[in-house]
Amino acid sequence: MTTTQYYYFTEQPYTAYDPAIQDKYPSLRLTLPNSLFDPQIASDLYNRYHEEYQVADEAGFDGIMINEHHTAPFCMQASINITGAVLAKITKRARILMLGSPLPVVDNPLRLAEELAMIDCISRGRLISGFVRGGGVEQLANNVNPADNRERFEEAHDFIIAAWTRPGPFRWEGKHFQYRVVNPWALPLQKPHPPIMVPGTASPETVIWAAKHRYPYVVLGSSLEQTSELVALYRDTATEAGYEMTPQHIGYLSRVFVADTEARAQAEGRNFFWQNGALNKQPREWMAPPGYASVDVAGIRRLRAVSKPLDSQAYQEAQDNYQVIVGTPDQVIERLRYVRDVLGIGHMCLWAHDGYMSHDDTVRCIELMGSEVLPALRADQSAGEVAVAAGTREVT
Amino acid sequence: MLDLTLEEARPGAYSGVVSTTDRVEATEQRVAVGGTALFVLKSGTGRPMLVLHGIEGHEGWLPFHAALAERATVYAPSHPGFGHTDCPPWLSSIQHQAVFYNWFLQAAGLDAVDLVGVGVGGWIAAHMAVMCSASLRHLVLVDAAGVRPESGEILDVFVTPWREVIERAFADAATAPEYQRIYGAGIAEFGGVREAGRTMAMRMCFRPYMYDAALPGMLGKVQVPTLIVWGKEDQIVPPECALQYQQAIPGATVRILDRCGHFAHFDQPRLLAETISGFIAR
Repeated sequence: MTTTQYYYFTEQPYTAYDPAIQDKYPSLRLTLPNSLFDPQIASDLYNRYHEEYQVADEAGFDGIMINEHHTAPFCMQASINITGAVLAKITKRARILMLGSPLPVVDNPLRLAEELAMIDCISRGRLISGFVRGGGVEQLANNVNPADNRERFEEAHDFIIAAWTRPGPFRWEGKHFQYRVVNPWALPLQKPHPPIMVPGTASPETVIWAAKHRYPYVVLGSSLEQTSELVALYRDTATEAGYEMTPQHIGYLSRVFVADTEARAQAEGRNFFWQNGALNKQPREWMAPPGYASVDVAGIRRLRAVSKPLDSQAYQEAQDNYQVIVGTPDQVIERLRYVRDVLGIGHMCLWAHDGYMSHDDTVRCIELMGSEVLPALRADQSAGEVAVAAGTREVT
Repeated sequence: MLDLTLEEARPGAYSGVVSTTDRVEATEQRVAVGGTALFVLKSGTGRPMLVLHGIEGHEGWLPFHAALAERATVYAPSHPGFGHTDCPPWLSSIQHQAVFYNWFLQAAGLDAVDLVGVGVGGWIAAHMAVMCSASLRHLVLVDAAGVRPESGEILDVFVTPWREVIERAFADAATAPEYQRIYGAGIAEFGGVREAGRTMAMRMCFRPYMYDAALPGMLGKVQVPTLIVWGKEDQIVPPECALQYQQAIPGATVRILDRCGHFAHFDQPRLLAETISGFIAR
């Protein structure tokens, strides 16, 4: 049987401002004044986060998950390819899991194909490319028509695959992208091209699209119940498409913090709420502009519902329903095992840093994961003790 | 005159407001335009007048329409993509809308038309003046989008919450009877026929935002007598745009209306209709 892969993740948050200012603005996105950005502090933070990636690489994570957001203090990565290029040089064995490149906001997908190929070559074939539609606000931040989101996503995807696999030169005359010569000199090391994964939170149409392409779909921290529904949709789509879904087709991002003591872990775990629920505090017009069809009314309400401000009850509730997992290695192992097996996932992304967690605490967390948590989880599967077919257990 | 009418006055087919409180009522028609059934409300007697709505969409037979219909045969269509009329697959810009409405004039056998456009509808009308001025008798642009302001900015109606957009489009929403009549029951955050219009507007007007840099130049040879009307308190499209349209269109007349916002047809329906009718009757 194939074994589950484990990835380290941080948003790379910019924390040098008071999230309470969210009360003064429609959102902590898009129009939050960038005079709040201090490049000196950001320089320190970027470099600190890169050092922590190196710790994760050395600690034995199978990969490092990275992402991209715009006009977003909760995520300093304005270019996933820059982080990817850094990882290609400063890490040695971890896969570089991009979740993902926001295809619809890219105006030149040929350049994106070239950059990803360079990252794959420089990293000696460690790239896992990921493609994402991006939230509505990313469209606004990049001034790309939200009504074209799905079409641009699909065409950019088709184009990048072609640029990687079709011998050049050739011409491309699409609806949104046109090239008189497609002939990228840089091509991926991995053949026929780097693996591709697709992240999402709620959109069924993205699940169906991923399943039709047989791309692993990674659920970004939705509730286990909702994730199970998305997994079931993937399985049904796969069956219709004539193949059987396996754990390798499903991933899940989980907020996890490990410390030497439960008290320490509990205290630090509150950092997952550091923005006091502001992540999805956005006008409807930003989150799902007219014409950006994937998030419907129910989807928005669901997103808003999970963005509760932190209080003790919300924190406990998040732990009770596995949205946040904190504790000593033993405590965390048990809960991660449950999440992994109940969802039947082949890719487990561990969101192990957020908010004001210190460098020392973050490094300790990564080390404990590498020395205790990951070995225990891997031992399950290498011993063949857990051979749960994907999603066959009920969420309890 | 409408020899290509597909369906006429289907009772109950239209759930919007076909006013019964004004003297004139409208009939609902479907006109085949290049394979698309265009939704049109029609009423009045006299010369044909085509009235194009703005980003707010088609809000039914308005007091504004009724006032115009006292002296004209008013055609008030709902633009392709705005809910009542399907969108042809090729249609994705304001210029395409103008092509479509030129086809409508031909399909309906209309010539010597008085063309009135409000907001985004004014932008469509301006493009029609560029491409088919021979079919037009007069051109009236009301708080029209389509030109880039030199000093101010057009309010970004795509990132501003919709309720705020609607409220700011009135000089004083709290006291405007049309606000109460049309929006008094509430402004839905999502869905419905207005969502379709917002989506279509997004498709057509997102970037460059609400203008066509070539439009002023293209208007330079327009010979149609043109009236430009603006609400003095327009908070959506700055009144300076009235002067830019005036500079672009030879001989154009400008009228600024007091106590009037961007939705001049809602804020001052009778004054606006009388201003238009007076200009046309000169």
